[in-house]
Amino acid sequence: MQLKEFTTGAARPLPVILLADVSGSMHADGKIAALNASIRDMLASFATTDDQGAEIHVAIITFGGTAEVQTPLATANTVQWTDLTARGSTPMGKAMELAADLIEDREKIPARAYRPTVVLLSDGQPDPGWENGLTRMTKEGRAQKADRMALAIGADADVDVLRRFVAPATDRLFGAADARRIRDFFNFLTMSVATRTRSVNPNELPPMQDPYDLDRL
Amino acid sequence: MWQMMGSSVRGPAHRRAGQPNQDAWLSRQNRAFALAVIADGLGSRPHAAAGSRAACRAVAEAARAWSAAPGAPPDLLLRLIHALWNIRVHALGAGDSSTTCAFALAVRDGPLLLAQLGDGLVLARCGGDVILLEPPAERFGNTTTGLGIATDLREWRYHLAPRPPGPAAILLATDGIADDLLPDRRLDLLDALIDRHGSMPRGECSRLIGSMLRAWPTPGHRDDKTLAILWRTEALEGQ
Repeated sequence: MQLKEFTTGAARPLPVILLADVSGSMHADGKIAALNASIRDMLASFATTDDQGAEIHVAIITFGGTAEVQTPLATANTVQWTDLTARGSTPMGKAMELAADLIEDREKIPARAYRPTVVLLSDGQPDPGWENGLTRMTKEGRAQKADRMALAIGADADVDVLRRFVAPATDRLFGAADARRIRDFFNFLTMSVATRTRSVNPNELPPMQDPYDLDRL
Repeated sequence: MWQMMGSSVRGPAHRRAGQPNQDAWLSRQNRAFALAVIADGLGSRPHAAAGSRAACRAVAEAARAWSAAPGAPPDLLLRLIHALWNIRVHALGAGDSSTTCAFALAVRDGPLLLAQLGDGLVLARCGGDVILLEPPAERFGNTTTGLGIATDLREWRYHLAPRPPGPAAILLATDGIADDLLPDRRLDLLDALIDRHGSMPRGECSRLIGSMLRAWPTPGHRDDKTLAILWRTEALEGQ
């Protein structure tokens, strides 16, 4: 009797969903270049995470002028990355709605998946009407059960909205004063996710070691 | 006459970490009832292994009282399980010993009760009926309730069959197994295990199932794995 006749051949996914601000202001001070390099490095690191743990799946939702799924949810080693370009306004709420849609989709994120990590990165004020997206991500359905982190980039980020996004885990809101600190945040994120994949229960958030001395807001 | 088989093995994550199997299972058969119980201690709790073993014993103890009281509602049994489990883990702390719990209890000349608190799978074929207990689909893996967490009996799922006639087969599995099974092959697995191993001596059967569970084929699997099967091939007397 072969058990594999009765079991799935897919490892349990650990979804990581990035909500990346690519509005026009991200052009300034090398922010978009730093974001592109950081995401590229993160994907490379996830793709080589040892296969004893969960399988990391990544989706990237961008918001700049419009909100769109730039990278559909897929295993990290199959993502075909193309650099993001910055333009337009900041439809953050729509991006949160797309993330909620993805998390509610049980075909894409099955019940056996580990709890997703959703990371919101922004350097500015969201366009009006963002509240519905925030409600869907923080108060409704499966989306509210995801682990949420946020990075405020520069001095103009709407820290209040980002704080409401991570609430009640207010220690998961970070700040990056400049482009270099975006890299540090992504190194920290990569380390945190890799630690989860190796832990006995990947749903437990590991103690937040922070060798990058990130700024907490 | 009910028959039983089962096994529980430590998963790769606990093997690597040098931690014990936090799942447990128990089967009992006496003049009053046949019982199979599984429990999955929650990995984040320091006394999860003790909690799962306490759950199995609490169900067995509660089953004795409930099976001797024909017509007693399942709620009374479930309350008794909570009480007995809380007594058993009192010194360790209920919150530190949390565990899922699922069982099949067939009372002689009485009802068949299937019950589940937390994740995992209870799947039964009774005559022409298929009964399935499993957690809602809006969860994520390894997130669950259990003894030491649940504050309301309504968190249990259960099915009470007054006196099911004829052949029956029941599969209990912790989430280390349940989450990796193809939904449309679960009944086939139940049938295959009974067909292939049902006639073996119990110890040999348990060892063989344990070997199969240790060689679990899903890539990246990590959880402890526990499976129990209760089955009856003949019809009840007089039916």
